[in-house]
Amino acid sequence: MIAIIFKEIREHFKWAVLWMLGVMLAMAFVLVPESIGWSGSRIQTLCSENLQLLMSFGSAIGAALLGMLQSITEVRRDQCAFLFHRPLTRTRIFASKVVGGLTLYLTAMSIPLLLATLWARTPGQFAAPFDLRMSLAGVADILTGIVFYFGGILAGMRSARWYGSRALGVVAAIPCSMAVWAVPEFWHALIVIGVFIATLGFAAWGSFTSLGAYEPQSRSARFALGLSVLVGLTVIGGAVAGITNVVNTPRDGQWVAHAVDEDGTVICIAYDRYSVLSITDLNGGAIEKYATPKSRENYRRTTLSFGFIRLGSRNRWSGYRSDTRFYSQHGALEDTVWYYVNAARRVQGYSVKTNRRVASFGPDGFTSTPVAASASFAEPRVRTSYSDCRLLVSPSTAYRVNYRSRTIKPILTGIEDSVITGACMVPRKGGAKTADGIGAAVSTSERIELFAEDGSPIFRTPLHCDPAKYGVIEFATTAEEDRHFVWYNPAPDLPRGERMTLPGVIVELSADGTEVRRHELPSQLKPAGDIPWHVSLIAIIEPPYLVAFAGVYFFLTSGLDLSAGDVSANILLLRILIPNSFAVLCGVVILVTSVCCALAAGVIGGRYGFARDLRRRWAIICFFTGLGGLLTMWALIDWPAREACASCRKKTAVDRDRCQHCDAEFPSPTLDGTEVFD
Amino acid sequence: MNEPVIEMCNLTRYFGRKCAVNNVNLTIPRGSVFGFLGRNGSGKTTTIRMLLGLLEPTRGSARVLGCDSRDLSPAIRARIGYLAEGHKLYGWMRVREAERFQSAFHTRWNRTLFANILDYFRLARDAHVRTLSRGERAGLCLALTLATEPELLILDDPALGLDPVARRALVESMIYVTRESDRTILFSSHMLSDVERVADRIAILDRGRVRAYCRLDTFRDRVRRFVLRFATAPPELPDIPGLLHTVRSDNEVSLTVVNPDERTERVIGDLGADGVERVSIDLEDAFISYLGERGDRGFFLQEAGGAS
Repeated sequence: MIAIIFKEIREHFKWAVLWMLGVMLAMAFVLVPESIGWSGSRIQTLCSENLQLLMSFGSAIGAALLGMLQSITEVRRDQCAFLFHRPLTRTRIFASKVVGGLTLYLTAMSIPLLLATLWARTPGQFAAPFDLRMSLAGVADILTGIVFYFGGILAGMRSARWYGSRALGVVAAIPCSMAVWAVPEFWHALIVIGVFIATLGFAAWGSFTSLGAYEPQSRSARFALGLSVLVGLTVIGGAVAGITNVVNTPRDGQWVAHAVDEDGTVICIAYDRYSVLSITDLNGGAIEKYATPKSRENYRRTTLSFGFIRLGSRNRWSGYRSDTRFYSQHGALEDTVWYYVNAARRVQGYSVKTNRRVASFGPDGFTSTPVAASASFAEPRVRTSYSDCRLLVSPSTAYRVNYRSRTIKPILTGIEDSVITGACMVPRKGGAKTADGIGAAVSTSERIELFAEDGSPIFRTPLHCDPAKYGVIEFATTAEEDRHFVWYNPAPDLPRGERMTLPGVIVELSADGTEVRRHELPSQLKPAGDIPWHVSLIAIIEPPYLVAFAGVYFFLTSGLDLSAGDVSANILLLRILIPNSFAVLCGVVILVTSVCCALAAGVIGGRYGFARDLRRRWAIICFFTGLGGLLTMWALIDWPAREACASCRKKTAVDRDRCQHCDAEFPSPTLDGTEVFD
Repeated sequence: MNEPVIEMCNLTRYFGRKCAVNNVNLTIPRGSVFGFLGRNGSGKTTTIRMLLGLLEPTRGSARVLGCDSRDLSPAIRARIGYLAEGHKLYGWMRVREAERFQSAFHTRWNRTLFANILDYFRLARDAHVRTLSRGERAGLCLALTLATEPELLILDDPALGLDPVARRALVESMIYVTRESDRTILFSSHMLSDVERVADRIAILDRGRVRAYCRLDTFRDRVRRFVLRFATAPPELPDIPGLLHTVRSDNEVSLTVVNPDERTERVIGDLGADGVERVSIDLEDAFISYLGERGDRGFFLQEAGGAS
């Protein structure tokens, strides 16, 4: 085994080194600009999307190429005869190749990541905090590469055509990469990677030990191979359906937005793509001042700006791949960028000139020296938007921060009957801000409290809508500060169906916070466009098991309502891939396709003399997997030739000892009298 | 000592719709040197690959050293030396690396034999395999195969591309292997003089079918040539049993016949020739007649020349 491991390392060493140098160079292109100086954009170091893309693509492509290289060079021109005729089991030969290959791959990809990590954690390199866990995204990408590596071996070993099903091994690894990006936790990613490694690893092992043939493989390897091919076909089917969807989606560019103008009127703005068609009040009545096209195009100059509160501290983008899991930029002033560091529960300032930490602040105020852990905020921060960096909010206290004077002052504290759920600065049109002018709005679980610029309270008003459903609250005030508007929007976390049907609510308040008027905005529900019926034929390539799964999932989570005529009511795949309301028609197409595929599998199995059990099994598989299953069957099986039986004249598969129809033996070649035997 | 080392039972292999090996039934006894003959594409390499488990038979089975060819254990493989067609090696390896690589898998490794073969082929230890000539590469492959002292040696066209000196070395190496009576060699070759020198049994494959399977002497004995002289132009030939090949000249007909018997001789005698001469032919002529175009045909270039 050792000899083969060393042989593999020796054979592919130069390619691994070249790949590693390429990755390091690309990494330098991504990371160095962030380290040179802060340009106003987020500094994400190891969590940078570009770096993650680089690691993801670099690992996937490098590993797949290495896997293919290791297998293709052996099977090409019968080279495997030299390797495979070793006094070793093929499993051990496979294991040796994998150990050698993965040693090279992991080394080639880990060294750049390790160097990048060491560089990023060295003080003075980036004007941002660093956490070692920021490298977990890269680690996950490298581990995902192992899946592609097995996909590469599978593609290299399979006896299939490149334009046919041979490359499906690599394609089957793509969903793993997508899932690793999508899951919130690193350990979730490890589970996904483990499942894919087990599947593609088994498939690669089976194809390697059988030199690409299907029949000699063990049952588990055949299952894994079938699953890999099916996943690959599903990915391709999804891509085809997606492209068809894009091509066939009607370009209905008309949509409606709402705003509040400076007079306090709620207006409807009808757009055709990017140009404003009309501006009316909520009842559809014309508004005099928006009569001319120019006034319509410039309507934003006369409408109020809203501050924005997203209730709840949960941030859907703070997964293990996101820098916001570790810190978030909380402000920038002149040469210092401020970050709220989750682990330290303090805000830390980094000099953009030296890239070093120069100050920090907590509830006790600002300091330029290292502080004890006890000086941290007692509770985790409630997330606010970046534009609200002058507010720092925890569930029990809201602070007003002044970076220029380096002071921090609690404006709301000691509340007992509720918790703080968010805060925003209140934008205001026209006029200079005064110390007693409106500055900030703080939402709690029960009410909204308004504060002046200097932090003194102005008024409090109870929440007008259920915060469980209306999770986004916007707040605006007129230039004269005599009227205020609270705009309640459906929470993004709501099930899609509910979110689309729930109307937005705008509540107008007087100067003292009393409710004056309430406006209900039309729901965002849009009727499905008029899509040609033939688009539903794309459902032929949709795997029934996936559609059923997605349908049940959506039914349970968002309330499936096919009769609503709403795009969002269609089940997952239909909604994503076929944005029309023909869900039932699509369902019929899928069902018919399933039945046809199951029948075809049975007929084909009969023609090639499959055992009854095997025919039944393929028919069931094809019923649940549809066209993908039938294509998988076609791609997997080493279809034997069929010849006419000498006895019954019916065509029979030649890989059997006897005719499948009449049980007669295959005759020996006829003798013509010129044979020479002892 | 005569128990079979290799047994093939209805061994069949299809590539798509093409039947490359058709119901081959052969038994190779221990201690024999078995020549596996046939034209290009006749199925020799396919058969050998099936014997070594490198290719799955479509139908039928084979046993090698008592073990099913589809499931050869490492211990059985260690007893089989295999020299693949085209002398497969890794081009990036040096000669000494190839030795180290091969010897790592075998507990029996004859260093002296390996060194002697390298010396014979004048191979430098630090030469890269990719820089070796075809003959040198064949020599290295031979050394790597023989140094394991295999009980069964399978050589797939080992003489391919070798000069006469190298071919002689190859033949000598086969003789060396068979110095011990329990060693068996199966080799395919187009060099019939080499086959004649070492083989005691042969099998001839033709389009995947076994057409001859016998001792070498038997084959030579069964393929005969008759030269018939006529006073005038030779007559049209009747249906002669076992007729393989006919060459005509002005008043002479040369007939190559397989398995001649009394009926054959009677038909030939009835042709009314002034004289009938039995001519002995060597293995190459016999092989060409046996596998060449049947019937009364000349060389295709003559036909083409005649047409112009």
